[in-house]
Amino acid sequence: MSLDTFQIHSQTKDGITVLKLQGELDAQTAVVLEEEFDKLLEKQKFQVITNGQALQYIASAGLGVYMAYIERFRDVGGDIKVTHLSERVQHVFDLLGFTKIIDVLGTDDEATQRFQSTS
Amino acid sequence: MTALQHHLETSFPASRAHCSEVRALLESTLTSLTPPPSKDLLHNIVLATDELFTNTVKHAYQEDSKKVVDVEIQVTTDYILIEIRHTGTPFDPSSYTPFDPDASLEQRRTGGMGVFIMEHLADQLEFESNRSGEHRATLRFDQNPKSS
Repeated sequence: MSLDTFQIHSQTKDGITVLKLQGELDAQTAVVLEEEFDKLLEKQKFQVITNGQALQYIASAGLGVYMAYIERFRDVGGDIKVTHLSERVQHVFDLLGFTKIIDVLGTDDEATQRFQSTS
Repeated sequence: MTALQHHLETSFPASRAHCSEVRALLESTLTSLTPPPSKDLLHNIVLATDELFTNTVKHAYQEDSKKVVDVEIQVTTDYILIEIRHTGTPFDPSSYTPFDPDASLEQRRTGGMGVFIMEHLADQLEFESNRSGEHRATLRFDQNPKSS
């Protein structure tokens, strides 16, 4: 079983964790993002930005992960915000109506400011 | 007159581990055409087919990787057709609750996103079964892409 088409690089600064997503998020690799969100919940890192600058592709299974986890983060006062989506990936977020339920922002700085203004 | 330009048939084990191979096959096959489809059309075809293959693995074969999913690509001057065949559990439109992209997070359900994508990106989506227990789903894309 190969998961090498998708990787996550995680960095936490001032209580905000940026997950840099790289590659293709599909039905096979969605579990990698699920495991990362689980780890963050366990470590009580509830303010999360997923940076999609290197995310080349997303299928509905990837959106399903956001849907499964976003309430869990919001319920404990945190959130998952999304930044730097390519036009193609943003189109899938738009098509499935995810831009109405998730904060999709241009940059990590904008997302960080959003966290700071609400905390 | 519609003329056949390219035809390819192959099979994959019914496992999500093969999603990326299905996408790679489509990309290599379709970008080698003269002329190749636009980038938007190519992405629509790859995404819709990925969703169809994934649904077949999950729902028709319940992730049984010993089973086989047949994939056929037909390219004509007018359209690109992707057909996926299996002998597992067929898709039942009567038991399917459509996905609602306008639903709030609390009311939203994950099921149905794949079918929603297929319906919106393909110009035609058809499911049919024959008497020998073979089920097929067909995605048809006109050579001029839909805008959504």
